[in-house]
Amino acid sequence: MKNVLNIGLRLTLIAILAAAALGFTNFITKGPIAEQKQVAKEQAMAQVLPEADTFEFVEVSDEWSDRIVEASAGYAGDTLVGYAVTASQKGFGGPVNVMVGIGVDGAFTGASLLSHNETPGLGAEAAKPAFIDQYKGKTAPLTVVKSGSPGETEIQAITGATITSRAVTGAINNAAEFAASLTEGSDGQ
Amino acid sequence: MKPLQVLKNGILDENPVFKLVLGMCPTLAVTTAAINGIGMGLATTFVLLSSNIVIALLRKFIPDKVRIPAFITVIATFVTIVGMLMEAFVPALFKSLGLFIPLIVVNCIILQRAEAFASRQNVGLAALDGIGMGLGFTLALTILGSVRELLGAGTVFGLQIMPDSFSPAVIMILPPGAFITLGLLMFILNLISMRKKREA
Repeated sequence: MKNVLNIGLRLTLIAILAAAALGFTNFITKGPIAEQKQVAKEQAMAQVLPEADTFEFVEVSDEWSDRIVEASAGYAGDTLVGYAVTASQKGFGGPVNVMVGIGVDGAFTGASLLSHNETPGLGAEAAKPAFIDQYKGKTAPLTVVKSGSPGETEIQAITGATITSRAVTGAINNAAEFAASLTEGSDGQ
Repeated sequence: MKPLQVLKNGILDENPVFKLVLGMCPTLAVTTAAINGIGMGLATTFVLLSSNIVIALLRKFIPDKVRIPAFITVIATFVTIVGMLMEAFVPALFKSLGLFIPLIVVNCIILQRAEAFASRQNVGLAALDGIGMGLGFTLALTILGSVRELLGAGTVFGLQIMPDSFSPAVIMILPPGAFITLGLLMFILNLISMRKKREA
């Protein structure tokens, strides 16, 4: 009995020390981690909607919440120049989150792959400029083509990763629809 | 055991990947590119060094009956700390390695070194063993990653090596490529060590 208590106490002591070390590390890293995430988000917004200098958070209604993660309206001074919309769609290895910038004319101003779980060397190539920069200047709805040179409303799929290419394009199309609904809403006011 | 021998032991004679065949889960999963191999190897080395030191220090305090839970607590604590520090201060590295950091907890090399070495030796030797095993693991992962990246993407560390006419064998960066490469590398290394033995 005494032995059991002794073992239990020692193990508890080790666990308490471990918890204290973790708590302390969390205390010093909490701030910088939150800052990093904010900086990364702002960088992505500035990249997809380069015209805007300030961003304002837009609420995503329930109707859209299964496809749209987050949205912000971008302003240059006081003028609305477009929206930065983060959309999610299921890819090959899980959800693919894409942030896309949409100008007031409805054309895409840029796109960035925020997070994904696609196959390295195949689907993961979607994050590279060769693929993701295709969206710049085009308007929704876009379709994916596997071969030949893509037209005005077409996106060249990544070789061997058609599912990923379709997921990214689908998410971007949804984002455009969402942005269009925002523009209509503000017209009515 | 002499200190230098302990160091060499981990890198060559008892290389965790090629000789002990331990820690296969991260080995096979992360080695799609050379840079991933080296990053995962160095993160593991840090955890291995820290946990070996702490466990060697605590070896008289930890009761024999609950040594495994105690080791796991120490290892998991260090892994979590490494992950948090990396995310806070080197976000670029965290972005490419973040996914693999939690995998270090289940890397059996670390538990095996705690059980077989650190809990029986003094702090100095345990630290050297951590460094040796860690470097051995890093070396193996980097070689595996380089071979797979070269054949699967035509690059090593992101630099184009193969001529443009080379069409990459995508299978090499997919899971089967990991098994094929590991098997061939172990075959070559065993062949060399067998030859050496015969000569001696």
